[in-house]
Amino acid sequence: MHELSLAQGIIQVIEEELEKRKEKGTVQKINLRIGQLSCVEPEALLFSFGFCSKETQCENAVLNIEKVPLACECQNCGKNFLPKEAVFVCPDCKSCRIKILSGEEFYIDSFEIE
Amino acid sequence: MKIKVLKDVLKANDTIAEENRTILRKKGILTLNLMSSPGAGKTLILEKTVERLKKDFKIGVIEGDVSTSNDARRLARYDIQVIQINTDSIGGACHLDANMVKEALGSLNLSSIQILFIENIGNLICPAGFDLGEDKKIIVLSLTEGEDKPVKYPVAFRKADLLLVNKLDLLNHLDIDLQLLLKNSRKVNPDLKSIQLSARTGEGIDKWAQWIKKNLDLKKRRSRAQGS
Repeated sequence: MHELSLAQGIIQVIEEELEKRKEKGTVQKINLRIGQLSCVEPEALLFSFGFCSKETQCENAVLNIEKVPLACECQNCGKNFLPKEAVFVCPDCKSCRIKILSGEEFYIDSFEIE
Repeated sequence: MKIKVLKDVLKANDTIAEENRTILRKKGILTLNLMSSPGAGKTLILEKTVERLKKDFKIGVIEGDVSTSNDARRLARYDIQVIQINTDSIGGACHLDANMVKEALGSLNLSSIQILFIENIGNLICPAGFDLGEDKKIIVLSLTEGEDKPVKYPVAFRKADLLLVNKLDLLNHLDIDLQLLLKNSRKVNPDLKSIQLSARTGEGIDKWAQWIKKNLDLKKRRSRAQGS
């Protein structure tokens, strides 16, 4: 259930940005980039955000979630690939020595105000 | 109007984790974060470890549980510094985060601790995502949980520095394939070292205690090198 604290984190970051810019407008949309491996469940996040955002400048904001696929690089042969299973194995040389290039992030990309 | 932010929501946690790491480094404290599913035996392992090490080292424990102070009470019997974090007052959080640990550090007398154990909430998923400022992440897996856990919960195993395979005394009573379990753990983390033990009988605790001592020595040497 840690989507609740993540929803609070999103609101906190946006409020800090608004404060910095002395913006009084209401937030319409928040664009998020969520990695496939970040263990964040979008449904649970939307649900938590719904009640965390009440009476904040984010109250009417829509969460626009862009999922970032998992990308890996084999540390043995250097091949870049998108793993299909939770256990990462290089499709070429079958090595398990794998570096994750993307897919672990949980970013606020931008937000839109009116 | 569109405002570009590009901010990592988990960054706040990582910043606090680094602050914790700095505090702990200055004090030369080896900090170990123990993660497992509920019931894998983290607390009993800690009891046996404390029994083994307390005569030579000053030990502290941060106990994380959703509710109750049962585990802290079990460890307090060994006359060491123990602090319980209950997450039910903070929404029943499924993991410890860096801020909870920071507060706990504030209530411990760090000058008289050399080894600090953090017993995370029993959960194989969420704790893996939160850096606490520890030196090493230890994953505990007991034989009763089955050999496929490393591949079912790869994130936690991928981030671990050491695997403790617990409940070794049950090996001959279960249908578990220990070699397959170890092979699965290396599939997700080829560098993962493992120690097999039984907290119940004490088998293997020596080897684990040696691993801790070796890492404490390494940390001391490293902080001396940095200090000079």
